[in-house]
Amino acid sequence: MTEQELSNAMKTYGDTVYRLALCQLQNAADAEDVYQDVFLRLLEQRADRWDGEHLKAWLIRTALNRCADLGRLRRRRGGTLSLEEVPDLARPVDEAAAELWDAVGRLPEKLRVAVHLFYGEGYESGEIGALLGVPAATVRSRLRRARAELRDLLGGFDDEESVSRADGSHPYARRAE
Amino acid sequence: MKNRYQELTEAIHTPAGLNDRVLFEARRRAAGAAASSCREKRGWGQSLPETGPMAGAAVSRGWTQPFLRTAVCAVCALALVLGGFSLRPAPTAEPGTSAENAGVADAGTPAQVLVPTFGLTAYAAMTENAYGPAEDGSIAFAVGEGCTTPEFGDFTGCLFGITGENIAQVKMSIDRGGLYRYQQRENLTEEQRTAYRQAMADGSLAPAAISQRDDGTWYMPEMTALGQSVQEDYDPAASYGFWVPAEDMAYNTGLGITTECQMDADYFDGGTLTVTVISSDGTERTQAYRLHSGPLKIEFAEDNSITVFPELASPEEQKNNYFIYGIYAAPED
Repeated sequence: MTEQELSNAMKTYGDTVYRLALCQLQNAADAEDVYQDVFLRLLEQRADRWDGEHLKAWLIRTALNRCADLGRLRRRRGGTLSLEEVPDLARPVDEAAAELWDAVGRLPEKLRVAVHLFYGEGYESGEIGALLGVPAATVRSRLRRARAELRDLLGGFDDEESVSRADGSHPYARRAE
Repeated sequence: MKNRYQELTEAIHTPAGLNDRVLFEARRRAAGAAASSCREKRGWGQSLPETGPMAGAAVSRGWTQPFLRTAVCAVCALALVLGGFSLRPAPTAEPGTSAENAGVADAGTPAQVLVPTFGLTAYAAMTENAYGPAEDGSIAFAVGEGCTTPEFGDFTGCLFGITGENIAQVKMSIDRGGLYRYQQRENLTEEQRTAYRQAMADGSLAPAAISQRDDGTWYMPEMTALGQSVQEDYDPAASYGFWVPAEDMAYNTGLGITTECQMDADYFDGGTLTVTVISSDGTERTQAYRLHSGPLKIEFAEDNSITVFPELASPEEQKNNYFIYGIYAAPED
């Protein structure tokens, strides 16, 4: 892969990788480390014939693996990253968004990644299953558990309303089931 | 309509400067890989020919690329020609000579003045090793840890240091491109790392990789463009490198990082680097170096290190990709 292709990949999918790493690791510096490592690994790939979806899926899988590696090393750190602590946020943080981010951050790791990929990246449960290497039914189960936990964390919101507030018209506004 | 979680995550973007840091690291690795290509293309892990230019340059089997990257710059069994201070009678001071500035205590009486002598050492950022010049004073700078951004230009990674004793100041100039100062910042605290990231994000500091060693300590190179000439207090720990301004560097040519690194090294081919050291009493010594770029001759040692020579590889060596691209400086009379 050339420097130009690497640069293009970062422009196109950099936010996806960074958000995923931030969500998983709950630490901005660790997320930057994973980001750098993922794209440097991409540089070593013969990715010139990959289409966009293939490239994005590879980046997500690699980022998840690196997050898992780093998470094992730094699990002792614990805690969540508040939305106010996220660097270079594009707009001011409102209380509801901060609560939702914090609530998702408190989810167990497996539930958190399912929520992030489903609601944040718009993947369907089958696609998430392929990315994570688990059956789609497992993903759906995790999403159900996640919504239940978020309902508790957020004080009794409707499970769909608490995170999705989706009408289905937007391609990224899918529901789990 | 977007869901709430997507709305909030869409406000999160890759921090400013992070992409540049990744590109910097990619370029640094590419420079290291350029060295390793000579092995890969020759058939890594195979014996060198028993005859021909590579005869006797035995390479152990089972080398790995990371090791080579380390070995590339762990260069030189060459004797280090370090500078020193010579105490000698002052020559007759003539207008316009450095001796004119020397401390002459009593006119008519030969005074003892400090005449600084110095030498250049090449600095290998990847291994933090310094190595010295050949016997004729010429010295090779392999392309190493550098950084290219559209804003800051190309810090080529061809680094050198100035050695000597009691040098108070150094003065350097180059007739094309420019120079930059390279300082390795060590044992960075979290606060320092945050401050450096912020400085990179707001464009006040050239992007660089902040890295962690196995022992947990953090470090990063800090690179500062100095322009075509600089005079500053002598810091034996400082390294200087060849810098291509943004408007002149090879960038996004479509030829790849390695070729662009070589093009920027070629920018200095035929140029002149002038180094002057100044002692505390004002005595100066100046040496001009003619710069050349190209595929430099290398030799492998039995301990798997590589020696880079201040001369071009032979046509046969070049044909076999048995070289490291870089710059070398030859002292002018």
